[in-house]
Amino acid sequence: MKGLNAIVLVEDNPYDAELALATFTELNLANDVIVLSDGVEALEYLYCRGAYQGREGGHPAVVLLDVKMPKMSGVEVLRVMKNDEDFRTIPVVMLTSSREERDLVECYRMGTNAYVVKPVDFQQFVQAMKHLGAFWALVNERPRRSHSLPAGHATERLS
Amino acid sequence: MNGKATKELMEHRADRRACATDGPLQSDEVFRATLEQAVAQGMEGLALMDEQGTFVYMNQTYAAMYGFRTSELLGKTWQVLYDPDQIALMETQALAGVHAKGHWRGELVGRRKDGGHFYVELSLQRLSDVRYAHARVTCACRDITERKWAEAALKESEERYALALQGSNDGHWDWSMDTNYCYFSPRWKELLGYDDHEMENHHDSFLDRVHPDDLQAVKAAVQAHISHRAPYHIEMRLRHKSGAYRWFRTRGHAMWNANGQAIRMAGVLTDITEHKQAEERFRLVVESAPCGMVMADHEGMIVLINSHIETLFCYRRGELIGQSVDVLIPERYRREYSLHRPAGFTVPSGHPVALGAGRELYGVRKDGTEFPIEVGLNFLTTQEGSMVLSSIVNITERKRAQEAIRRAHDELDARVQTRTAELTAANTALERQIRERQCAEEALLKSHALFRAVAAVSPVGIYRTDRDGQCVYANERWSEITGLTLADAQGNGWAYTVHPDDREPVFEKWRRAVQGGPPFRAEFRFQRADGSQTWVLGQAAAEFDETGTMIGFVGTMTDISSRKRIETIKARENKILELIATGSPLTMILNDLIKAIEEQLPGMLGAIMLVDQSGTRLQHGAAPSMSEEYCRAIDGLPIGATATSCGAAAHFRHAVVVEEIAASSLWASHAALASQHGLRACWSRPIMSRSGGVIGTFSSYFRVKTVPTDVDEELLDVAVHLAGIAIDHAQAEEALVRLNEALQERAGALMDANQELEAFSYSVSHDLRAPLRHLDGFADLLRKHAHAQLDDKGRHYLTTISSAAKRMGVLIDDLLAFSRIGRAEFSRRPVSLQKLVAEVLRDVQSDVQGRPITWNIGALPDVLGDAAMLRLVLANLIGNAVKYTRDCPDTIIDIGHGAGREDEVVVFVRDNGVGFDPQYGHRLFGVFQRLHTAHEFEGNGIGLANVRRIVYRHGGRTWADGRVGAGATFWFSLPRAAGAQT
Repeated sequence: MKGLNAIVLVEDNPYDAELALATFTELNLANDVIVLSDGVEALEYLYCRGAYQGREGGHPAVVLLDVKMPKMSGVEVLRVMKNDEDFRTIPVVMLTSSREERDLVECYRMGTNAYVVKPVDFQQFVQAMKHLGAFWALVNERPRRSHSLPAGHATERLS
Repeated sequence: MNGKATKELMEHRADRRACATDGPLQSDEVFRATLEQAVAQGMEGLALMDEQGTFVYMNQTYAAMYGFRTSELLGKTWQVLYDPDQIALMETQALAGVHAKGHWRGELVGRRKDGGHFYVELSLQRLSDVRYAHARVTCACRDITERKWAEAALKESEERYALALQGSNDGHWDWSMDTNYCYFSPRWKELLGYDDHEMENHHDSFLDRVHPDDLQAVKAAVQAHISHRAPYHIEMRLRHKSGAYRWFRTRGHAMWNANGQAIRMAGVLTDITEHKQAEERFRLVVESAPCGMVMADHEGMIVLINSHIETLFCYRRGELIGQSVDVLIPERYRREYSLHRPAGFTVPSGHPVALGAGRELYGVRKDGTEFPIEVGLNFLTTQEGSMVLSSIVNITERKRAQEAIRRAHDELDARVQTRTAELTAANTALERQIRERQCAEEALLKSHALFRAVAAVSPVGIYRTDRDGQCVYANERWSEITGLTLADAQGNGWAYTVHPDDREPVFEKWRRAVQGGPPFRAEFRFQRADGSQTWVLGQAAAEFDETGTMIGFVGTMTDISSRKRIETIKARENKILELIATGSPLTMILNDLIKAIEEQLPGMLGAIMLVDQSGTRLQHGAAPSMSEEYCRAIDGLPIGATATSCGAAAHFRHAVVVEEIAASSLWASHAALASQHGLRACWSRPIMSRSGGVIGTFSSYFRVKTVPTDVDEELLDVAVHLAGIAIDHAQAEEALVRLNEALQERAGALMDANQELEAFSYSVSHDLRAPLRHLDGFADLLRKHAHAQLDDKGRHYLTTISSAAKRMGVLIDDLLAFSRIGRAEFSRRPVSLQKLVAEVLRDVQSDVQGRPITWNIGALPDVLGDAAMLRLVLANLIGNAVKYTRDCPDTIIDIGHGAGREDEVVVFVRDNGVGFDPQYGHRLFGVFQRLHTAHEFEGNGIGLANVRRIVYRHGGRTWADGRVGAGATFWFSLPRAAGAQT
């Protein structure tokens, strides 16, 4: 059995990324946390292209996507992922500062598995990250291989 | 002087004294008078009678004379003393004499008590002394029987002597009744053919020879004579010695003894055979007369009648003989006429007199019925005296015949008169008919003339047909309309020019009319030889001659082409209006309109020009039938008084008709152009917009010189009207399009602004929050990381940084929410405020746990709006009410609705909480505006701003009342849901 799949965090804001990493560190997650700074990079990572050509580690356990990013927004990355057989089963959690309803609706339409508003309150942020990491990285089970499953449906395994 | 009477009187006087009460006899004078009379008369019997003839006094002699005693007669009337015949004499002669002259004297036959009779001489005297009321008549009497006998004996002997002296003629007889011995004189016997000795003198000798038929009459006559003293005077037949009977008349007289008994009777016998025979002949003559004959004697007694009289008057012969002839005539005529004594005539004997000549005379039958008679009178003088012989004819039949004749005459007369009247009437009627006929003929002639005259000038075609519907006449107008001559139309000729499409229905209607169906009436077209069509209204009605016979049809043909043109245009009008409504291009509509008018106005070329935007020129609109060259040439024509018909019409705003372009000053500048295109006439009309401005012109060009007819005008009215609508509509549409574009432009700008705003909000949402998060995040990390190095102050600073960041985050969230409310999708549906309030109350229940709040929720209406937003409004207001009353011991919150404008609903939420200073009331609804510190009441000052924004978006208002410490009332209004759309 190989190591746990990585947690991929796509976040353009380095402060946010740093705070997130600090949180994950605090959680003592065994998974690697890979931080990507924008959508383009995220896709390169997923498709093992560009800088990530020939990378190791396979599919991430969960992709945490900031919605608003330069070049390619999180929503676009989500669309690509959910339209690709290979990536459809990868859980995606949208992280955003925005409470805009239309973003939320749009993301669920695309097939996001969760949508989390990043609280201004850091403690709340930490709690949210803990739950996310624990759930998606540890609890959530997904098909070993990609099947034609409907996108965005998390199945929960009771441990 | 009669001593005995005197003596009796004296005795009576003594009686009277004894009976002093006998009133009437108290006077000596009476007695003296009576006595004197009796003495003077030499009478023995004496009696006094009162007025009624009752004996009031008598002497014994008087009573004894009649075989009575005085007592038996006193108080009785004198009638007891006489037989009826003598009573009659007494009344009619004796008493009448006393009454008239005061006295009477005469002889009567009295009757004794034992029934015997005696002759009595009476002397009656009236007493005039009124004092003796009862005694009125004195009556003295004397028995004179003996004297009468003596006189009779004397007379008999005298008669016998006389008879003897008479000699040969009559026989004499003398019959002693007691012995039946009867003396027959020789002459008597000789009359019967016997010698004196050949016949015994015995009464039987007479009776034996009486004809058996007469015997009874003879015996009766004798008996009547001896008992009643009736005259013995009888005719009979006696058997002659030869055995033959002969007629004889005998008369005789009896003599009575003192006892009134007849003892002897004597008389004479006369042979009347000759007389009888003559009489018989006369009778036969009378009997055989063809009419009724009556003979009466001089006293008018009927002595003879014939059987006709019996038949006529219905009497038997015996009933009339001896009667007065007067019984034969009605009583009312008796005074005037008499059958024996014609009034006013001195009768010349032997000359017949016609009675009743010239006058009506009637006979009366036994039964009283009357009948008309005619009477002839003959006066005869016979041995028995003068006689009257009347011939009587019943003229009933004659009368009847006469009446019948008269009636027949009258009838005839009447009939003649009637017939004459009839003839006169008939004649009059005939004359009248002739006159009427003449009048009718004149009228007919006039009517024919009139008809021809009318037909000649009639604006309608007139035609006549025979009974079978074959055309026999048509006027000129008819020919004009149909384009057919009478010769063409004759018979069924007209039918062939009826438009093929119309033939079937027209022929069917005509056929039915001719067969007696409804009168012919049809609208149809005639196809004229030149190819044009004429619309006509044909009508026909049956025509009758004066006798009521149907002789054919007379009909009219009216040219209704004009009307049809208008109708067609009206039909087209709808189509054009439809085109307008469906937004077809204006040029297409105008072309269509012009073509429609051109169809109805042969030879016309239509052109529509439109006023350009400057309002000074006309530009080409539509002219489908005109050359492009011409249209181009006049495009841009100025509007003006002399700029062709079109320019002038637009200028003057009324129709301009130019009959002859070449001759019109209006066309001076363009006449050559028009002429070049063969245009000779032009009528132009301005096209007006609905608002009254000139928006174009409609021109009708003609290649001939012409002016419009009424129908043309009407057509063009329609055309111009439609053109106006079309152009108006097109221009309005254009304006609308322009307006739309402008609006869209503005909408785009707004949208851009909105998008910017949205982008701004978005970036605020993302980008402003991130640093705050970082602040708090890193502050927290620092606190963990540098916990040991930080003192309390340092830690406080970090905490302040964190809470400020968080606070800023909340503000940004609220601001974004507020911004979202302004931009959020907004629905407008009926919403039940009542229901929303209930929901909100449910939600706030958890916040008010343990707090005693009195909720007064009134009835709330439905409004139009967005339920979610309105819920937010109510949640804010109710939340505030709860919040700002939390220090009140008895919280009362009222929710209800109040009066507002008619189309809005005003809702309030009132609390009795801390209230507010009305001075700052206007700031309540501002963003982040607060009247309390966060220490007093937490909050961001965004809630009421949201309320206002939501209410504003609904088209409503918000306001508030309140005072510090006295509660607050928040109001908002919303449009009413009545007539709500879903």
